[in-house]
Amino acid sequence: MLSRLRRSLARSTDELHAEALQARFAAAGTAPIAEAPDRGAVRIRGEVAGLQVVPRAGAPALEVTLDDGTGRAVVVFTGRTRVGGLDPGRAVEAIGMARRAGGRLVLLNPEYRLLRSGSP
Amino acid sequence: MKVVIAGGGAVGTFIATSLADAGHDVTVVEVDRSRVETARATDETPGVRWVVADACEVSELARADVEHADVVAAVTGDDEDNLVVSLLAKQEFAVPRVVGRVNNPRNEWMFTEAWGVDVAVSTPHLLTALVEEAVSVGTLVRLLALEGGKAQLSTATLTEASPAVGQDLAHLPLPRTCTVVAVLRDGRVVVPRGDTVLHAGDEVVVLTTDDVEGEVVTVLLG
Repeated sequence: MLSRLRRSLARSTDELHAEALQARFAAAGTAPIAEAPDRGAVRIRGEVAGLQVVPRAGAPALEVTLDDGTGRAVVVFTGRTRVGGLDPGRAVEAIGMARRAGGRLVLLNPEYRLLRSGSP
Repeated sequence: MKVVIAGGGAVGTFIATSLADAGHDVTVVEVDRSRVETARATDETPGVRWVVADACEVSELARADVEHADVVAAVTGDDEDNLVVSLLAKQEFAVPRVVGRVNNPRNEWMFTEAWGVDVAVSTPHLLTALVEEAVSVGTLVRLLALEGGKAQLSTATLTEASPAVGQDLAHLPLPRTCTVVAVLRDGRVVVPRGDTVLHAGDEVVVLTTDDVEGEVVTVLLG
């Protein structure tokens, strides 16, 4: 009991958060983001960790960062500045073709599903 | 390298032949069955695989094994089709490099990353550049725009009056964001080194950012 307390006190909040996310999404039966292959069809789940509107060749694109505790993926919606329901903290499932580009796992215009908060 | 070419017209056939000659694994996707049968029957493009499929349909495009392609070139005669093929290649198959052919220069603005295109090739613009080249000794001619127009590959043919004539490249006061990539002299390519001395009549190929274009002209052509 004390040792567990000491262990959790010794870890950073980031580590604890990552563990909580892993525990939440591990049971979902989807692939961990860290293990997603390059150029493979993937089904991933994660929490929206950040939203960014970036210009892609002059046109806006919404980049949504998903975090499942094992890693992060960037879901890009071209031509959009916002997508209803995709808000920080929201759990989302994304299904599409993933590729590794510039050290990031990127899904371009994937199929997505909003998950009820609390559910894995 | 594995290359998939969408469009088996004159352009697609030509690219396929030259890439296959260079030892690449080439597949041509063409919607017109009789065109494919002719190409197969006459062995028009040795070593090239032809597939009858509509490249604008994901399921049909998959038959050309696009998921393993390193490059997809959308070179049909129809800009809408080329954009659709480019977007599908990038979005559905995560193809690392997508090349799109621009038929009507008015559509060139759409051939960008937003549509999955990594490199846009506009034949009319290339033609303009080549015509310009033919008529313009002593000016900087843009051959290819890179990085969405932030950089360019350009060429300048030196005249007797050019200030760069007689100078070696190491002492040529070119801006930092400009570099000489080749010197074409008497029909030969001279690989540029610091001690390469420029002559009148040399065609100097430079890679430069757009903002220093004026300086480059001053240094090379005066």
